[in-house]
Amino acid sequence: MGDRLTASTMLQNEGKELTKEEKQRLRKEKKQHKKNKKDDKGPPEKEKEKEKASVPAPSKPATQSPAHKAAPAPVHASESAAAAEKPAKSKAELRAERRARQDSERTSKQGKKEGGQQSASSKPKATPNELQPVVKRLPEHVQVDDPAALKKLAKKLERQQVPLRSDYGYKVSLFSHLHQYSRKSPPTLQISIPATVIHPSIVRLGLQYSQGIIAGSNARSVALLHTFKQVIQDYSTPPNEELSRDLVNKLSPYISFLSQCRPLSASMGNAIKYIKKEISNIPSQCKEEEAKGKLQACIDSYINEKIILASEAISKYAIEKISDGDVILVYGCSSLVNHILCKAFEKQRKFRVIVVDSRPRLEGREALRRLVKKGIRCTYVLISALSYILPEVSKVFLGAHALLANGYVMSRVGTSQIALVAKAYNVPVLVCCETYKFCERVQTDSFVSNELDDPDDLIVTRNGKSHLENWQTVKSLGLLNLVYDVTPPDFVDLVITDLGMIPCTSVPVVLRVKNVDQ
Amino acid sequence: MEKDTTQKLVEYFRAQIREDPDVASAVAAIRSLLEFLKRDQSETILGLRENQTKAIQRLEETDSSVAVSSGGELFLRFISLTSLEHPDLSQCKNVMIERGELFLKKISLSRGKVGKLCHTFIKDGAKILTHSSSRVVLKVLENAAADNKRFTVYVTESQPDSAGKLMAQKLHNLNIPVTVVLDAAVGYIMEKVDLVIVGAEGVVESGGVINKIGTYQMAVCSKAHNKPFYVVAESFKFVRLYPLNQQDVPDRFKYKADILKTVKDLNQEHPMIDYTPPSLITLLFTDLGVLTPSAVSDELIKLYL
Repeated sequence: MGDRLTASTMLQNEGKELTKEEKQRLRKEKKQHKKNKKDDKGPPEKEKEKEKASVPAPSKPATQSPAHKAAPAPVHASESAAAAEKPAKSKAELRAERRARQDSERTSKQGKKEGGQQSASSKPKATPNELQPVVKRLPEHVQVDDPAALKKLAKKLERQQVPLRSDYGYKVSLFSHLHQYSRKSPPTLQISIPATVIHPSIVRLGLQYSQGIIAGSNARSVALLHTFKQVIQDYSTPPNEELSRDLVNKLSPYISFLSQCRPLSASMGNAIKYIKKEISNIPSQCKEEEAKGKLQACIDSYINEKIILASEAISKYAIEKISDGDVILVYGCSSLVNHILCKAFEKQRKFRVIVVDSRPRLEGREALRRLVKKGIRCTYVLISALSYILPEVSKVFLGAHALLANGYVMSRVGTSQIALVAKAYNVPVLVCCETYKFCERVQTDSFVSNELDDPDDLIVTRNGKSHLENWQTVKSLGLLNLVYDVTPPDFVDLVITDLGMIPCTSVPVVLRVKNVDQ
Repeated sequence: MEKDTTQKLVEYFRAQIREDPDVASAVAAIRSLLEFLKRDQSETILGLRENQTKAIQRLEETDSSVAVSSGGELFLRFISLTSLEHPDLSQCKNVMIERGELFLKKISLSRGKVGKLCHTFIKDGAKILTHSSSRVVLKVLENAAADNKRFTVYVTESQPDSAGKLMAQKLHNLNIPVTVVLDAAVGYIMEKVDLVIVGAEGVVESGGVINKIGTYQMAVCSKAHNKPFYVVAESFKFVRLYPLNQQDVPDRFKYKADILKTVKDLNQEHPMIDYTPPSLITLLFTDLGVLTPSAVSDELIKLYL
């Protein structure tokens, strides 16, 4: 028991405020408390707790210790259940069994890097008496109405010393499984300044995300990568630790904090995966300064290749599709689409643009400002006038937040509406997306995984009167401010990526090719 | 000097087509390119490639079909997609020629492969509708007839060159019952037929096809009547175009080469081809196998990368 505890403390981050001994003591107390609880209950309740502990195990890939911690609990439960059901086995046999199981678990865990398969491996060992179906874990941010998942998250954040942000206001029942935060209470209110656990530039970044100062898929990813460069710069390896493992562990509370500020986008997720891989691939004999320099160079090259050069390549392909006399419709403010149009204008193509905008973000105004500054002829409409202006349009250019593995396009809410109406008018729809935004997820509707923005944004003040001001007092009223929606591939005619022009159904081919490359 | 060699190339190309009217124009083009490579006097590999590219362009000007352009590009890629690290130029050239012969052999067999794949989809007693004259479709029907299947064929006249009548004659020689219908009668005849099989001049990245004008109409009709619409094409016809609609197809494919050179206002001319989007196509039969339109992009990525 003692050696297991020290092993897990070695794997875990060292909190800056709680010392090692304090944490060890805390954990011992918790284990004792759990064991006492289990001895009081009968075997059927043990089975129930076993399942609850093994099924919604945390899904964050960074630390190995949460899964490690979950393993002792089910192991405890199973061995006491086994003892109750098979009184014939002697205590010595049981202890030997338990030790063998723990040893095999520990070696298997140290062999694996990312945490995705850990619960699948610990679950079959934890419940040997049942046929264990392989349960795919849902990410935490779509399980807000499940109290067990919330408890797990709270425990994890407490351990990482990251403040937990509470939901705000009444949630429409169809979306009660998602978080809904208010902009007036950012998570930075609960941290002491200067923050000791979380790097100050991460705090700043989180605030910028939660207040909407940095918005847009590319902007968020680039800001994240620059902040990570700063973090790596300021990092120093503690004694007896390896940079490759410790830095990854250091990054997880930062990532938890950022996802508390605003849920991570698919592009940010891919960027984080890349950084973690690069960090773990640092050879152990590499000196600290050299390693840090290498990592910063990696991040710079990632930004350069995947974002900047990719947009150049996409512009090249897209300009072939813009012919003289075109009327192009764009929606909202996509940095990539704006870049394409500016480049096409520089190449002396004659076209005009119709910018479609929607409340409450009114991002189209930013796009309009940028295009007009270049000198492009623009028209501005709200999305309610879409079917009125579509007969004039020859092409629709849309940006994307992410491209899912089944060919669906996840983008700003309103995009699927535009694609649908364009299809009805037989206007070709072109989606422009860099390959680093492709993700392995599959989604067929906009409900299962989305983001709920601050509902107070929907309140509009006209002539000094805001009619929805006291919406919380009306029990039957809910305000829904969705951020993303999902467009099926039948409505999209062409996807322009840095690899070329592909039909929407070929996204899994690109993912396959990318995985082979890596 | 260069004009002379390209002139010889064009003559060789035309001779090929004359001698063997059954050969696909792309195959004839590739044979000519191979011959051109053999006779090429360049001193460097880069020179060889440049001459090949120019030769392809020259052939495109002669015969403005999509297949010549796609076949030429694939040929060039295939022969240079090998290690050309030999110090001796003639050795490199031999390697390239060898690969060229290999490519030529492969594609000469492709029509037979397609025929073998497709004829099983023709059931006994079927009524088939086809458009204009396609040698691949002819091969498919030949294979089906050899398999002792009984079927009847309706062919559209396919104006302005009445190619359908030629097809009807060839089918008649194979003792297959055939009827020629007007281009305008496609909607009328659609309820009688069981399936539609057409050839292709080019298969584009989206999975759609470029074929003789009138194919798009036939596809829309067959969709409305829920009849399967099959396309048969060899793999060298896969081309890296991505048209969004009819207007997006480049002009150099739409009109015949001599018309492009002489006529000033193309709006007065009739295009010779049209584009059929992938949503209207049920299956594509190629020598790479039986593909759905969305699988074409996958194959293209493999072919061209």
